[in-house]
Amino acid sequence: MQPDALETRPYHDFSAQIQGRMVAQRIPSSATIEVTRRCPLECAHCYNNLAMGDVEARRGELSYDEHRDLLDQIADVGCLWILYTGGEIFARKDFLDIYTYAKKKGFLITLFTNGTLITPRVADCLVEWRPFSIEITLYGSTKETYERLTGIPGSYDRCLRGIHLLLERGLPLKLKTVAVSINKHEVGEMKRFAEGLGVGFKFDSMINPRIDCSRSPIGVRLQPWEIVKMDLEDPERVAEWKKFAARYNRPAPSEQSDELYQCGGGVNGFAIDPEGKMSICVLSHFDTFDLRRGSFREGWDHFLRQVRRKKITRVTKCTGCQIKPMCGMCPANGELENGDPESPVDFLCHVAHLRAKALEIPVPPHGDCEYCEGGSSHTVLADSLESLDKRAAEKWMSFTESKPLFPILADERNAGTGCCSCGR
Amino acid sequence: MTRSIANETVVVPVRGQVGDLDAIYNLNEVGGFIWEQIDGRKSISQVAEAVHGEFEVALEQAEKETSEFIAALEAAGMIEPCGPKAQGMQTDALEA
Repeated sequence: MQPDALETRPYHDFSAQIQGRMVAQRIPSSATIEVTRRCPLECAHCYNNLAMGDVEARRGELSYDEHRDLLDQIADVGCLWILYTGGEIFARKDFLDIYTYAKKKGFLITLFTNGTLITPRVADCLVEWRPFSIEITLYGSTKETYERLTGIPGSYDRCLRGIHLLLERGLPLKLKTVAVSINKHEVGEMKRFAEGLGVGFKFDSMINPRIDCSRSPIGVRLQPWEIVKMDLEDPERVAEWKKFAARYNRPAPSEQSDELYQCGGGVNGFAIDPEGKMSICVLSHFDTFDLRRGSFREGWDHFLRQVRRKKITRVTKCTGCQIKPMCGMCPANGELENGDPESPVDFLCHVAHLRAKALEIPVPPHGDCEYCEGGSSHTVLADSLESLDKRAAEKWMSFTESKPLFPILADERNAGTGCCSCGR
Repeated sequence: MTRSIANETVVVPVRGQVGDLDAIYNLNEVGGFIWEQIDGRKSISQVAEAVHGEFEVALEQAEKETSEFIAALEAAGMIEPCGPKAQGMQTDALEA
């Protein structure tokens, strides 16, 4: 008989090894599935939310039977990871039916939610059908800020209840936030709150226009200097950026890759929107394949393969930019910001150059770039650096108060009725 | 349950209070075959006989290695004995 009939590997080793093979074989291993765009919150920064009562949106969503068929198809082609997102996933009354069907098919499932619709029934179901991970987005550490961003009175308490229900059941929860002008001063407190609970925390500051072309989210987007200031205040983030730059910022090769897409979209990843349209990622909607009109296999083997093979049509300042890995520019960002996947996004360019300057990371010349020395926006960069210097004394990420936030959770932890940090 | 992913057979926890997914279990061809035999009705001896027939190994060797493999699965919390206990693990039915 063969040795090692049962081999045990740490999850991260397994993931890294199998992902490499899946990419090489172009196996669609990672799905991002938006089950709905409806959401009970009305966040100012959101790129895709629709009202709970949007009848047209609800009618257009894939049915439970269509989701089951989709799950059967993607299981057959080797998909292992699913990220369910929205909108708000629990806005769909049948989401747990979809989810448990996916669990029975053997997917490793991550759930993105705002937590406000998590009830004891939902949490109990998640205990029985345990997800790989659940990520709840916080919008503030105080009720005032949270609800100013979400626009819904009572949403703060409902979110805390959701967190509490998951933690007391020992479910694998992580917290995160989107830093915008409304809540930037509370990111540090949100981080401390997560640390106090013993759960992971991360934040992102990049905001896109909405997929329906509205630019309303830009109204709450942080200024480039504010984004970099938050980096600089967090030593871990600074270290990560420097490590990232050392690893990925490379001199431009003599022969540039002429592929438009440089990510895993269409190689091992794909996104499916609430109506069953498949695309490279959730932000990209220029090229979609209607899974109501063709099978997943057809969409993956032919349509998405062709999308992934698209070539750039012109040289831009991004083409030879060596700090592109620090920028986040991708065709989806170009689509959303400029209506053109190849058009550089000025905001991202500004942030990347400012971040490099602040972290003393070299920026070799890369063509006609406004933010490089001699460029038309170089003075704008200088102004941003000045803003950083002027506001250096302010500590948005520091923790000025020692009293516990989120009193519902803190009280229970102190009362010894179960540890909210470990959930036991 | 098991999933066949990129030429690997992977055990994926589906239901109940499994711990956080910090380890992944891979099954080789023989392991995958044994896993498929575990249906809540067969005993270890019956599974070993199936291994003996499928892989053309001596029955004694099949019994020894099947028992070792099943013990490893049980230790990992991936299966448990079910049905009436008669002669310990040797005759317990197994359930994934």
